[in-house]
Amino acid sequence: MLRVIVSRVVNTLFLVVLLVAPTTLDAQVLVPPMAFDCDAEPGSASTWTTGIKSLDLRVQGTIEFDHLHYQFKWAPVASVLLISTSDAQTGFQFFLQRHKSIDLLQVGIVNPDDPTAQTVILTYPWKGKPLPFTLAMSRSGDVNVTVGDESATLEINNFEQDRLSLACSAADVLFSDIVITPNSDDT
Amino acid sequence: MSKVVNILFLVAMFVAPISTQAQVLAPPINFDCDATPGYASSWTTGIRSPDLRVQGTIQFIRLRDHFNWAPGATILLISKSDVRNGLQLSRQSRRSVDLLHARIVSTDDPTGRTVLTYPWKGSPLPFSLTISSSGEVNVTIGDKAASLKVNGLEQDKLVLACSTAHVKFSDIVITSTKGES
Repeated sequence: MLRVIVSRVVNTLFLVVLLVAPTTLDAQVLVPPMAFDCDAEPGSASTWTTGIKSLDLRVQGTIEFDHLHYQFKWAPVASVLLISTSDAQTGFQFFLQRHKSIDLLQVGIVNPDDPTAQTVILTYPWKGKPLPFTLAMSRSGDVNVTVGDESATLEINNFEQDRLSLACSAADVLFSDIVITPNSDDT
Repeated sequence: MSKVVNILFLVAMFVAPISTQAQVLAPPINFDCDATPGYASSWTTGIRSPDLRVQGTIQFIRLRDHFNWAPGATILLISKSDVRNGLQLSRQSRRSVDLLHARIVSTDDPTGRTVLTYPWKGSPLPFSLTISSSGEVNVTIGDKAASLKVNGLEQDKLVLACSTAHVKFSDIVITSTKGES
């Protein structure tokens, strides 16, 4: 009896090792967190993109604006976006509404079903400390965004996520302490 | 039997925690790096392997002008003691505006050795940067290669950066070379 139990435990552990080991190539090399010092002039963008393979994931870190490059045609923006295989996007975007105030940035949720209609969840003075953020997506299609103390959730359907993108334009933005994990890690 | 179980438990415990990132990310990485004159954009990640290879392609889209800063890009490994080794591409003279110099650089030799001089307008150029636990740094760019020897460095970070230029790093794959011959 004991031999059977031990044999089952050994077999299960072999399977765990076999299953986990091939996926560790990146993890053997890369150690979170990452940082992206993003500086782009008006009319240009700097973008960091990685492929993703998890159906649920969480991206967390901080964002800090060091400088906004004002120009008549181009407004400063920064974004953290999940992009689907059909190039639909969800996540959040920081943007400036110059006609309101050049000292205040707004944070809007990007809805893949209606990309032009952003729901603003936060307006804050951009000069200051790094602002913590989290973008999490679950297998069921819930997208949860937290920026500073504000949170919002979107329910989206048929979004086959393919890439994660961090970007800025017309601004000098520091994304720091970026950690990307499966969303199910602590649920 | 109990020893086998214990060893397997240890292996599973060691492997599982470091696999979370790999469960999520699927290489390659792309970095469209566009920096204003006199400024830099960079992507930095921690690294833990003493043997690793960074490979991909690099393409300059636009060179900008600045009084003090030459347009350029770097792929650098930084050790815990802040020793830097890697590949640097830059325009070295305003007179040769069409040419970029790719150099293997280190903290001991920041000017570096030229590996390749090439006209920057063109298709993406493949590159690789490899470091082994024995301390050999190998650089390839296009069809040229160079190497240098470093001693006992514990690598800490990998940085891809550009300054005063618009540069595309594409198809970046970072792997451990441990076990390769």
